Amino acid sequence: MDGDRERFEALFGTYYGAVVRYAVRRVGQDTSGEVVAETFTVAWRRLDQIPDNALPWLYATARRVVANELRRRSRAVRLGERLAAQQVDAVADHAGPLAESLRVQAALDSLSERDREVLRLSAWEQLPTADAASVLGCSESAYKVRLHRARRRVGLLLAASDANSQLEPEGGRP
Amino acid sequence: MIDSLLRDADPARNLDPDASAQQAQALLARIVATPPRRASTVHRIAGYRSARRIAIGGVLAGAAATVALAAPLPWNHGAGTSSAAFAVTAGAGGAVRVSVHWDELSDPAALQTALDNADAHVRVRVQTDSDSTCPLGRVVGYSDKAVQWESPGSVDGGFLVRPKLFPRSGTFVLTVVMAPSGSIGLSTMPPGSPQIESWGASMIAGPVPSCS
Repeated sequence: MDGDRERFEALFGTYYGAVVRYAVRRVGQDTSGEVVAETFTVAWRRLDQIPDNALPWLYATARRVVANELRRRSRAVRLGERLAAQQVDAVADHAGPLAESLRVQAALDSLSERDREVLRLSAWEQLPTADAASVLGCSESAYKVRLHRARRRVGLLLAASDANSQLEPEGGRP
Repeated sequence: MIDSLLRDADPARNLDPDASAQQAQALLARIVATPPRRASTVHRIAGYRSARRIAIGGVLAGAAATVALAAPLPWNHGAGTSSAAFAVTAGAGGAVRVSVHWDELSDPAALQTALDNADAHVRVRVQTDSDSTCPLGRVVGYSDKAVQWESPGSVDGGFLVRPKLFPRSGTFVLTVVMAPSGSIGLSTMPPGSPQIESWGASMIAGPVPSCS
């Protein structure tokens, strides 16, 4: 029992930040705490199932928690609408680099969840191929193919949005 | 190029959570206070507060806990209302600070009254069945100055609302979903007490529909 606790505390100390960032990236800051807490609660209960390379396991767990959370919230409070609305508003409230980031975020939002997750794991979590494939439960070669296709799709969307933004006149917030 | 653009758009790029921070350590303590390998069907987990609930629920004196929630605490820091479950206080310029212990909130109506008294422009909606729909109205975005969360990355802590910075005709809506009878929600209260399963927040422009 003491050994379990020591291992879990070490796990928590090492990966808390990574799991928080993972959650914030997917559900926003105000909801991420629940995801982080449930992810580590699951980890505590299944400590004997966690491999030495624990981070992909934690991400995979957090991914399921996020999916459950979004399903529940979509029924209860339409979280997706709220998040989307926040993004729209943020575009109106800010300019410059943030607007560029939100343009990228909007392109991401236009992709399928599978494409989004592949790109996030690669660019944001910066996971090696083997670890990212482990999180997604697919082979490394399948992950590479998915990543290649997702990069191509988001690239096309960004190019299109860039062209559109150059056509639109500047305007203030209504 | 694509990866560079994506990295720049990382919403957690500047986030550096500290596992040794008090909040993180409190979470750790709550988790390890529970048995490490429990039967997964024992409790329905809706949030990390449930871990604490499981840990102390068996020894919690129901009557004492109920009294603790029902008895308002004196408020000594200006206009506002507080209880063991929440605190609402009006600040300068119409700002209102709201702190809610969601695991202890058994009376959302009392929170609503406190919010109304503080002119917070915050509506608490109670959804009694998590599987039903509860129309939100017109969801709009809001700036981080209009609603400022105190503890990014956590459901703990509270938030500061500045109604003057809300979108036109905006109301900040907290939707609380009550746990089905007999299940364990976020609450640390004894079984049988009203318990919140989850909650969410939205900015609504115009009328705020009630949950039916």
